[in-house]
This record gives sequence, C-alpha cells and structure tokens, in this order.
Amino acid sequence: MNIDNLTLEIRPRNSWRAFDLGCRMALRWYSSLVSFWLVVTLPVFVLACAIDIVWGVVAFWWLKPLYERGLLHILSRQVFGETVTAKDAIKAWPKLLKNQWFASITWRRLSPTRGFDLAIQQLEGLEGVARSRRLSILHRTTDDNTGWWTLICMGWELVIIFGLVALISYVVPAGVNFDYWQAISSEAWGVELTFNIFTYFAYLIMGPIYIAGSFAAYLNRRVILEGWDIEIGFKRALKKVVKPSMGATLSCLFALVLCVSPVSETWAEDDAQKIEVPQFDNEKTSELNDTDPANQQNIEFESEVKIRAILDAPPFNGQKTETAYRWVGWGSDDDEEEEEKSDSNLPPWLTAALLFFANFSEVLMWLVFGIALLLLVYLSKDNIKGFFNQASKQPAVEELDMPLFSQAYQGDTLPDDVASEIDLLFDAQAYRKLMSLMLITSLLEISKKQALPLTKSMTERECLEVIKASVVGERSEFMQRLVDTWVHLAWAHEWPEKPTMQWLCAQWKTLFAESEVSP
Amino acid sequence: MLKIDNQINLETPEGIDIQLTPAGLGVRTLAFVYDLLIRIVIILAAIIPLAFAGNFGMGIMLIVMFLVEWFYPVIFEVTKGQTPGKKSFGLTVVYDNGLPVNFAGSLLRNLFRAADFLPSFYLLGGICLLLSKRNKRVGDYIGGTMVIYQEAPQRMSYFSFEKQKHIELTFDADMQKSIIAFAERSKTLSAQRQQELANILSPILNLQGPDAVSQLKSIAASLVGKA
Repeated sequence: MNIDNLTLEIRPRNSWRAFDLGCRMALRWYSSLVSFWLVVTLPVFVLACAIDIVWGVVAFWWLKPLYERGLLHILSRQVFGETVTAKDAIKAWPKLLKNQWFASITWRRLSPTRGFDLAIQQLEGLEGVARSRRLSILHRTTDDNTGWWTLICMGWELVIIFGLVALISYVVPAGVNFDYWQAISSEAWGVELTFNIFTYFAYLIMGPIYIAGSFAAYLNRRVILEGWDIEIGFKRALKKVVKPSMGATLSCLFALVLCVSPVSETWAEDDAQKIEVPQFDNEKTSELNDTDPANQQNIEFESEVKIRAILDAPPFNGQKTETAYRWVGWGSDDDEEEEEKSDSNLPPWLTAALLFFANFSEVLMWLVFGIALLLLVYLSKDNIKGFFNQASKQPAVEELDMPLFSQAYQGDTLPDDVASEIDLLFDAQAYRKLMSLMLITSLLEISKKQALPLTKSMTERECLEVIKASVVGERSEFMQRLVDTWVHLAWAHEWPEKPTMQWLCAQWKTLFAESEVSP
Repeated sequence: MLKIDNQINLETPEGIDIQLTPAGLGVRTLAFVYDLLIRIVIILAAIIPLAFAGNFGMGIMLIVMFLVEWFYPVIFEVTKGQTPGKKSFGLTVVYDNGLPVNFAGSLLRNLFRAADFLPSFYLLGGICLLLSKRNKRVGDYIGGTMVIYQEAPQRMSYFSFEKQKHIELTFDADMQKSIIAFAERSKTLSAQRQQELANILSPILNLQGPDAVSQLKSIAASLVGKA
C-alpha cells in the first residue's frame, strides 16, 4: 500500500461526501465492476431461477456479500493505481471467498454496516476480537452513516424495480388492462420471471455503487484517523524543498532515515497485495493501547468516565435516566374533562360552529378573491387604458377642427383649382361664398405650416387672435383684413367694396396660391 | 490521469478558485425523505380539521395539497436557500455560478421535479444525478442550479505545545496548512503515527521522533499566532 499512488484526491471529508466520492469511483471503473458482476452472478441467477422462481431469487439475494467481495477487490486495487480488469478479478475471486465466508452469509448478512465492515475482514484480514476492536475504532464517531448508506442503496434498488414496472405500464398499449399492484403481486410464472430480472438489474446497477460508497467511507475514516492528507502534504513539501537544492543525496539520507527508524517499519513495507493495518496483530494485542490510532480515542473514553464520576458527585447527582415508557397522565384535570367532551361524537354546538365557520370563510374567500381581482384591474389600469386608446388616437392627430363660421362655403368639397374658382366667384360677385372659400383655404394653408389650436366654437375674433399669436408678416395682415371684411359682411351685412375684394383676391393669390391647396 | 474528486472549482473573473462540493445521491435522498415527512405532517394537520367541513373542506384541502407539493420547496429555497430537510444535512441550493438561488431558478427546478419523477419514484432524477459531475437532476439542469454542501466555518482547534527554539524556515501556503492540520489533529493520531509523520520532514528539521513532533507543533503554534 502506497499512499502516493492514490488515484483519489485525499482530504478529510464527512461521511456523506465520502459516499459521493464512492459514487464517482464506481462510475470511473464501472465497466470492469459490471462485467465482473455479470460473469459471476448471471449463472448463479439463472440457476436460482431455474430451481425455484420465488425462493431462488431470495437465495441469490442472500448470497450477495460473496459477489461483493470481487467488487471490493477491484476497487481496492484501482484506488492505488493498479489496473484490475474483470478477468483478473474473476481469477482472484475464488481465493477471496475462503476468508470467513460462512459468517458473511449468516449472522453478518443482515448487518446494516456490512459493506463498510467487509473492508476490515477482506483487506485487513482481521478476525475475532481484533476485528471487532478495529470495527469499534472505525465506527467510533458521530459521523458514522454507513447504516444509512445501506438503507439508501436498498431504497434505490426498490425504486429501480418499481420504476421498471411503471415503465412497462407506460408502454402497454391503450385498451390493455394493466394493474400496477396486481402485476407486482401476481404469481404467474412469466410475471415472476420479469420481476426477478428487474431485481437482478437493480442489483447490477446498485451493487458497485453500494460497495464503492462503503469503501470510500472506510478509506475516509482511515484518512482522518491516520492523517493521510498530512502525510501527502509533508511529502509534497519535502520534494519542493529538497529538489532544487540538494537533490539525490538528501533523498537517500531520507530513505535511510525511514529504514532505520523503528516506528516507520510497518509503513515502509509496501505490500500491494493487502492493505495492511500497521498497528494490529493478533499476537501483540498487549501493544494495542499505545500503538493504534485509537489510543487517543481511549483517552477520550477515559475522560468521559472521569466526567461521569464528577457528575455523580454531590453538587450534580440526582440525575436518573429512564429508558422505559411510563404513564405520566394528562397534563392537568381540565385536559381530562375536555378529553371526555370530545369523546361524545361532536356536540351540536360544535357542528354549528364549524358550519358557521365554513360559511363565513366561504364568503371571506369570495371577498378576498373579488378584492384581489379589483386590485389587479386597478394596478393594471394604465395597461388597459393604453390598450383601448391605441385605435382612436391616431386619426385624432390628423384632424383639424375648423371653426364653425368658416363652414358657410356651400360646396361640400373644395375645388381643385382654388385660384380660378376665386376669379370665377369674383366675377360673379358672390362675395360671401368667395370670402368663405378664402377663409377656409387660408386657414388650411397656415395650419399646414404650424399647428393652430382651433376649435369649432371659436368666433372670428378668437380665431384671429390665435393666428396673430403664431403668424407674423403679410399673412397676419391679410388675415386681419379678410376677417374684418368677413365680419362686416356676415354680421353687419355691409357689402364690401369692389377694390377691397380685388385687393383681397390678389393678396390671397400671392400669399397662398404658389403653395397650392390640395384638399 | 486526473484524480477522482467530488469537489469542483469555480473560477471567478479575478482568477480566484472557489471550492464547492455538490451533494450526491445519499444525502439528497435522506434530505428529500425528511422534507417528504414534513409535507405529510402539514397535509395531515390540514386534513383533520377540514374533514369536518364537507365539500368546502375538500376544496381547501386540494388547494393546500397543491401549494404544499409545489411551493413548499420554492418558498424555503428562495427565503433561506434550503428546505428544512436540506438544512438538517447542511445543504444549500445555488446557481451554477455559486450565487444564491432566486425565485425563477427555484421555481424551475421544482416544477421540473415532475420530469425527475418519471417513470416513478424519481428514477430518472436519481440516474441523472448519479451520472452528472455536479450531481444535477433534470430540474437542476433546467433551472441552472445545483445543490452543494454548506461549508461550515473553519474553527481553530486547540492543541498543546511546548515552545522550541526558533528555526528559520520558509513554508508555502500548502505546507503551512499541513503543519497546522498536523498539530490540530494530533489529538486523534497515536503518538507513533505522529512521529512517523514528523519524521517525513526530518531532512528539513534535522530532528527525529518526539523532538520533530514537538518542533512541528511549535511551528504550528507560531503559524496560528499562539506563540
């Protein structure tokens, strides 16, 4: 065993992380693990099923610890960098079986820590008292979850079996009656065989993972108890310091030191065949107390005894631990009375109260629902508004509100050629119509250049104010004149003089005609 | 060949590696069972009074079951980062970049439990989790999340030492860590094993056996600022 060859990243972990590491280990070497498992167990499984379809598979399950030894064999060597193929493992397997095979399949079969303990008996080769002492050291921690790991893996085996049954129920065509529970409890030969195959498949998947997880937990315990990570760290640091300066001479010296040092003997031995425990030896059990890593644990145990002795002395004593259950009565007398009341099959007032509560909460729920709905509407009012406004907004921008007074022009549509129309009307002396036309066209012309805040209800004067505010120069003067003449004609019935009209027409043509009005 | 490890390194833009350990099959199974038991207790506690309220109670019960089934993990993961079950095993849900999970990620990973559940009892989720380097189930892939072990704050643990004469030596950070770990864990190592470990460094220390051990402890004490 040489820690430097480890293919794992070594650091002290808690037990759960160790199991996770085990899963990674199992996946890394899954092909050799699974092929070993298939070659060894498939004949046994077929034989068992041929002998008895129900009890055969139970026997197969019962013998599982024997096959698992091969998995541990592969894992324990792969971890130290030695490549082990399934073939090698199959060759080595019969030899592995000799050691304590009877105990494994009888009284240790149902032990929840069987995967973890297997490493001690198979890799350390311990038996009897030495084995149990070693086990007690490795299990003596608050972070021992090996039993849980066994349970979890069993659980996942069941999950795989039932999952496969469920998968069948999914692919059964519609119309075929498939009863999940009936399928599981059926005693038909075909169904039993299918079930057995599923079970075998579950073991095939979970077996390597279970053993790898347990083995990783075992390694992790040793990492913690023996400081493997510290050893690796020290060696790495030494290499860094020694290499650049003194090189070979010092490393020779170092090797010499290691050989001479009596305590390191067991560690200098590099026996790849077996992960040996340095401190344990059946003959030298008397040395156990001062050689094994549990020495300190024993000290802790002693101090625990001392602490207990102090706690039993006068100021602390009087404590008593009861492990059996004992009736201590209901808390008080009132409780007992209540107990009697509720026994009498729901009194009417309670029923009424419950009914009232039910009705009340129904109303309350509807209220809450309504309020929530209103709140929702209220909160999203902007969105709703935006949604409705989209359609009507766009034309509103285009439309210009013409003041009502300008509607006197009788024609429904404006003429194509406004200038000639003006001439025509001037000749016909239809001044009212002429001026109305000029008003409309000039307002339209102006509003093309700039926005006029006109409304329908505006009088001529108000309109003029607006125009004067935004228009300057000749146009403003012309509009003033036009509106004046129009007001005189429309409201005072003063017929305009011909030169005024002539001037207005001429002015209109110079101001507006070049940018032709197109209605 | 790369060494097998269950820890991952996340590199920040500043070039700093953050070590996270994704939580695997065993511990997450147990955390799930723990949460399942709590959910069952909640639902049972709701059923007992509601059983008296007829159809109304039935309706409420269905609502309660829906909420508990789908939002129990979401609420705890968003507010605390961990459900009670995960908390009891020291697990936390984070995004792939190590940031705490928020509503979107938590909701996604929990809604897609429905996919993990296929064909029954989370078989797909379990297989997916096992094959993934970051121990992700289907929901974790979709939500971009993972479940990691919460690192407990490191505590200095007490060790006794005797002050030795000062030696002029320079150690890099890894070496310093190893020496401190040696001193702190010397309580759980046998005296022989301590000497074996210390002897590895005797070419540097020019000391052996018990002297090397006490010299190392003295160095460790000065490193942690005790002497």
